[in-house]
Amino acid sequence: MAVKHLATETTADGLTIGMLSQTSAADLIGSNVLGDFEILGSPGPPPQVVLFSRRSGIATVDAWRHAPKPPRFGSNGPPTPPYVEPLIAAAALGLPIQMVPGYANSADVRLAIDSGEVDAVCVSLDAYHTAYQAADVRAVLRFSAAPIPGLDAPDAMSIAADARARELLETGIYMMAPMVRFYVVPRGTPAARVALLREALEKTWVDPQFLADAHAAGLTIDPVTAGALEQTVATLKARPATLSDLRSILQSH
Amino acid sequence: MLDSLAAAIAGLQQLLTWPTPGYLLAGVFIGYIVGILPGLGASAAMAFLLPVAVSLPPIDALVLLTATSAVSAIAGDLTSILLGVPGEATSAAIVADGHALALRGQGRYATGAAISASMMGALFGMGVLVAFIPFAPRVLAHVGSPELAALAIVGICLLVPLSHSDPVKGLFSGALGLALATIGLDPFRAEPRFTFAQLSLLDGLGLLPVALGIFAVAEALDMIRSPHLPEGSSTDAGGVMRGVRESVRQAGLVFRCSTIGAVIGSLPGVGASVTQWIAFAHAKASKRDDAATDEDLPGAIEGVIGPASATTATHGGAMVPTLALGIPGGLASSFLLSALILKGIAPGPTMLLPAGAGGQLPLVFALVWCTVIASALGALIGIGSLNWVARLARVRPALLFPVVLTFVLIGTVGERHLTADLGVLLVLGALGYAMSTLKWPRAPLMLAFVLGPLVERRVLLSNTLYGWSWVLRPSVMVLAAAAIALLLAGRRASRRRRSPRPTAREGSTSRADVLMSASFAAAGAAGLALSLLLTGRPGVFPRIAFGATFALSLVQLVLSWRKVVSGQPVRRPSERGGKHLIRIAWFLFFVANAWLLGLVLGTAISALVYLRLDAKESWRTTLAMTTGLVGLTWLLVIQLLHLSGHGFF
Repeated sequence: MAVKHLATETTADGLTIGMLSQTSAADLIGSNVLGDFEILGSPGPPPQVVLFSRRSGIATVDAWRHAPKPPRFGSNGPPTPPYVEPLIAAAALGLPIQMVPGYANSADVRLAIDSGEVDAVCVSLDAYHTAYQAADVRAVLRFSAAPIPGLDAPDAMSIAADARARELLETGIYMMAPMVRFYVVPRGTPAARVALLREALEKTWVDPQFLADAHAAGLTIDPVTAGALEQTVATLKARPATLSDLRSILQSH
Repeated sequence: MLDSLAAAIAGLQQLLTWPTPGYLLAGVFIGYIVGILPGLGASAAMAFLLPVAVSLPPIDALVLLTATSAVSAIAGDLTSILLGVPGEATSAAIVADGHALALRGQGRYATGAAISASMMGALFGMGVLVAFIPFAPRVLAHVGSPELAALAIVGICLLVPLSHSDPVKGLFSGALGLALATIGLDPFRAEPRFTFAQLSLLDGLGLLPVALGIFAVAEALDMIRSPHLPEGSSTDAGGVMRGVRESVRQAGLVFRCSTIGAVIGSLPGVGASVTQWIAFAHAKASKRDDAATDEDLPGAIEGVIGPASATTATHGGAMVPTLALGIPGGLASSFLLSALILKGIAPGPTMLLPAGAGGQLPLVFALVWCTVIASALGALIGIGSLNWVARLARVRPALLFPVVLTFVLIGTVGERHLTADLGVLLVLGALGYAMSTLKWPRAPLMLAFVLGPLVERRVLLSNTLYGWSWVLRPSVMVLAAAAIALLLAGRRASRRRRSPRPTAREGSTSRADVLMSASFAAAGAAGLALSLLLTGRPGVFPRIAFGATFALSLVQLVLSWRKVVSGQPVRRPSERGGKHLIRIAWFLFFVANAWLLGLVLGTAISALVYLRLDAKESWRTTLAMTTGLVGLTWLLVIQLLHLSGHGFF
């Protein structure tokens, strides 16, 4: 509803800029909301990691697979990445999972981890380095092809058993990653202003002061251009069967 | 122990080393200003200050933010009491009794009590922080959804003592608060409930629009065509010290409400907006003076002292999980946490180690000292400026009305920067005015409204995780015992106070009461019907809330109707119905203009028309007042809140 409002109720003059976040591939493409926007760019995705509390006794994907009962994952609820990504990963990799949505915010989930109420959570690497620094957790799985210094958790894609599992992971998690936070303006915004805004964003991503502030705040900046994002959207649209499977996975919980 | 003592001394030294005291004073000044101005709460001020704080050394940044937060909570009580408009959401509970006392000419007394209770609450909260923080990680590790669910249910049980004067109406009011809390996305599947495709309702109703609508609008509308100055408004000279002495005399109440604030406030997600109402309900239940109940003669000093001490104590409590675990206890502490992270300080157990062991214990103590000193300075400034602020209360009410309603309008849009919240204010303002006029209790509605989301979320989470076995956990049983004790205490208090109660209460047998009950029954039935359309968990809580609303309004309808037909004595309303309609019409006029023309222009036109046509002021006074209001609105809305575009200018 909010995205539709941004697309249809605001003046397309370049002065209203939206940041679309907390979406899922199935929702994003299925509702075709991206057709209403010009994409400006994204500061890039911080890699997502799956953390298990030490008291859960799960330290590896193998232990997760053979857990006596499905590990409980805490999250706010759909369509946030902590809800969507573990469900997709579990379905693709054949891992047991009990998703527990309903926590008010990430601090609530963190407290639930500390109290043993839930066993695991999926968070961004930024959150791992800030909010979970003092928590007694260990990373068990990562959604990032590139190795993460200090974390020996395996990349989910590397342990996918078959092509179908890899496609689910790629479509639902890896390709969607830059779209967790990306900037848009309503379609109809004058082309010159769209170009100006794209250029301004690209200059911002390399501004030394901005990078220093982002580093101080523990934020990962790995920019993705508007062109690359539009290519991603086109690729996603060409996979209707996979999107349908993803929607089924999410609706079954 | 010696480490802590050394850290306390080192912390004080850090705080007193220039330029840190300068930032402390700046925080005190900013906190005072944002506290007394509606719509500019501590959280908004900290959001504005964060970019400035990032460029400062860590100690200066944290002192600036901490002092601002500490003082705004104290200053917010001034406008709540004297004008009936909460300076910020965490000062809303004080309006109920504080402003009633001010209307009876005891504004200074109430303000003195509030400021001193706030000061004591702040000190208590800091004491809890220092004492509790080493154990916090272990203690908080035992707090789960069942405990939070039980705690919220204990809070809901306070509806009973709060409704002692008229149980059916009180419980109905609580049920209505629970029902209003279900508006917005459901917490589990993010499904819209009762949003009617309105974007502004997706996040539910804002706390300030609800509190201002239910309480402040009625106070403002009562000023129209009311020629009377508050009784004894100019003779309450010794009131401040009398209020201070009253707070000291009620040390037990201060202690209990500060404990409520600090302990419950240390739980993430339960901020001062919740603890103030729980403390208010507890204070009302333990009221010493039985001569008057809240509905017979509003304005009990306990209803001021309780929430004032709880609110400031909550700040100390909220800092416990922030510093010990890196989990913000509330919105204001989330800004403090951001500042810590931005300055490269990692909150967590290691922060509590002495400096020699790589910890930040001196910094923690510096923040404790900062809160204590800032609270003391805030209290002194509050008392010192009372004469200036209290002058407003001596202005003729009809002349004050546009000023107060403008504050209400600014506070409404200031919380979430949504002009659509004016629609919420319009509906709930009319509701609050009707409830106030017909003496339906309003405080239970607010208590249930702030606790509703916590109850729903935590009860359903507990069921998901543990089934119904969660109710048998020892910690839950202890809290259940506390709830039963509260209910019994409320029952005793109710019996004690009912004895002198007259058989016919004001308005309770009037035909207007029947009409009101019937309207509520219709609204409850509509809500229940809509909630039956919701499937699965999102529909459970709305069905309970609207079902209770419907059932209780039907019971009240029957009770009121029986009184009407039995011919029991009816106390005539003090004012004729036409006057109420005129007041509602002016309210509608102000809100409609603000919505259609923007806050600055709309307020100006509304004030101009009202002052000339209704208040019959001279052109000179009208133009002077209108110009002043335009300047004030422009400063607050455009310059400080940075709201521009349609609906704001």
